[in-house]
Amino acid sequence: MDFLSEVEKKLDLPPGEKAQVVRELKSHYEELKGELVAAGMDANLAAQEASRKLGDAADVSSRLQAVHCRATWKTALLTVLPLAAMMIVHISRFPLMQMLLGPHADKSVVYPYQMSALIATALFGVIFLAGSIRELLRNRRPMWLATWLAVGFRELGRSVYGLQELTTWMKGQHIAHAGIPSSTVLWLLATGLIAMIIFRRSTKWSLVLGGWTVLAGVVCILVPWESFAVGWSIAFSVVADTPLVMAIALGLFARHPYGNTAQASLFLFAFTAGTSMVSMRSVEWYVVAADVLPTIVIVATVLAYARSSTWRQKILILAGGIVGMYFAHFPFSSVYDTLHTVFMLLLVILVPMLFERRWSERRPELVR
Amino acid sequence: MPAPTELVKGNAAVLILSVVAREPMHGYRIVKELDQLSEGYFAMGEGTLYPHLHQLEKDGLIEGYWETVSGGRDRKCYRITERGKRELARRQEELREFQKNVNRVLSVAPEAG
Repeated sequence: MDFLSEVEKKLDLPPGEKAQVVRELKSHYEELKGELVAAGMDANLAAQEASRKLGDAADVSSRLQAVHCRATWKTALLTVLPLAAMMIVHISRFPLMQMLLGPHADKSVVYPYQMSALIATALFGVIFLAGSIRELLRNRRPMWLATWLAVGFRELGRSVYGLQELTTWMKGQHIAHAGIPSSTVLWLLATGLIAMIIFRRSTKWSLVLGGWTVLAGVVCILVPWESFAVGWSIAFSVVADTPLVMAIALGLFARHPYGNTAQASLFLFAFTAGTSMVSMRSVEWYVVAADVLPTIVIVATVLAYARSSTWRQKILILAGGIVGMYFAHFPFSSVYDTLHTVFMLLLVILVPMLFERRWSERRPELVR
Repeated sequence: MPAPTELVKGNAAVLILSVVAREPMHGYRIVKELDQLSEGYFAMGEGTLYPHLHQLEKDGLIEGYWETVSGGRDRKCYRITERGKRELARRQEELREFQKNVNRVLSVAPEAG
């Protein structure tokens, strides 16, 4: 087996990224071989010499693999930071509420984003989003960008929901279970606008994304939210923004020369992993306790993803994390949780993989 | 006599940045330039070069782009970024300081052999 075939066989990267690496090595190999032939060496000997000079294929591929896939501990911790921060905010909301509302806390219908939890959510959202925008403007795609952007963007959106819910609740008015249509429409507009900016060079995709935004917005306004059960109305709000969030992930990570589909999957995982915990539950200890294990699974999954060495490992870890979250929440699971797990598997794993395959096929220059 | 492998590996980033800072170039030429500029002292193996190049690219110190040369062959060229320039200046200063102090210590040692 020649040097290039061996490197190609050993590298376990998303196909597009792998094709680029092999293409670069092939270019080097061809130039080296050409120079040796021009110097009078026999073509076969020149090929052997060029392979020898490129080094040991196993060593080269393992070092390239490490550079492309495996994060340092510092990067891994940065990657997991937003999820860990939000886990702490989420879990600590009950004691904070008790502290703020005293004995009335137990009797109140308490919502996740109140007072300090809301402030902390908004603050973290701004910090993580600002850090992400800085990297995007520099045209860089470090691994941690996927979680920072996903969590920053999501938590800022949730803060708007939370603020509206809190003010409505403080006025003593009834709140629709799964958010308020005006917040949802605002969120859809923001997400749709960002997706359209990313795909601004493609008229077709700009129109598709714009069309979906308008359609989902109109449905949100017209559908009587309060007639839904809690889980189903959350499911509806999740489905409404899914194509837009997916477009952001694929546009920013999978299509970018420094990004890849594994990063798009990580973004989608970080973005959707917390949605099952948005539900407006009255805060009882057992409910908070039920969320502890899934959040630990989320954090552990992202840490394992960052430290894993191959593309296949990363995809398997994310799939394992999604299933793990379901079982960690199992005693409290509903039909909605089951559907959400299937939905996440499709969104985080299958769609980016299909995109990668199709995108690579459409870019013949990426194929060796 | 070529430099010890560990010394080259430890300083590969600054060596590559120095060469690419002069003008954008592809991997094959980076190896050649290093070899010529150091008169064969920094003989960086091709297998060593690419992991370092890709790491520098991931760190945002250089950026890669594809170009097609005569004969229809493609090659990936690298150019230094603003961040890379700052990093290079920092490393140059660091190495100068190191070199100055090594020379100072060596100058007081009696000639061996």
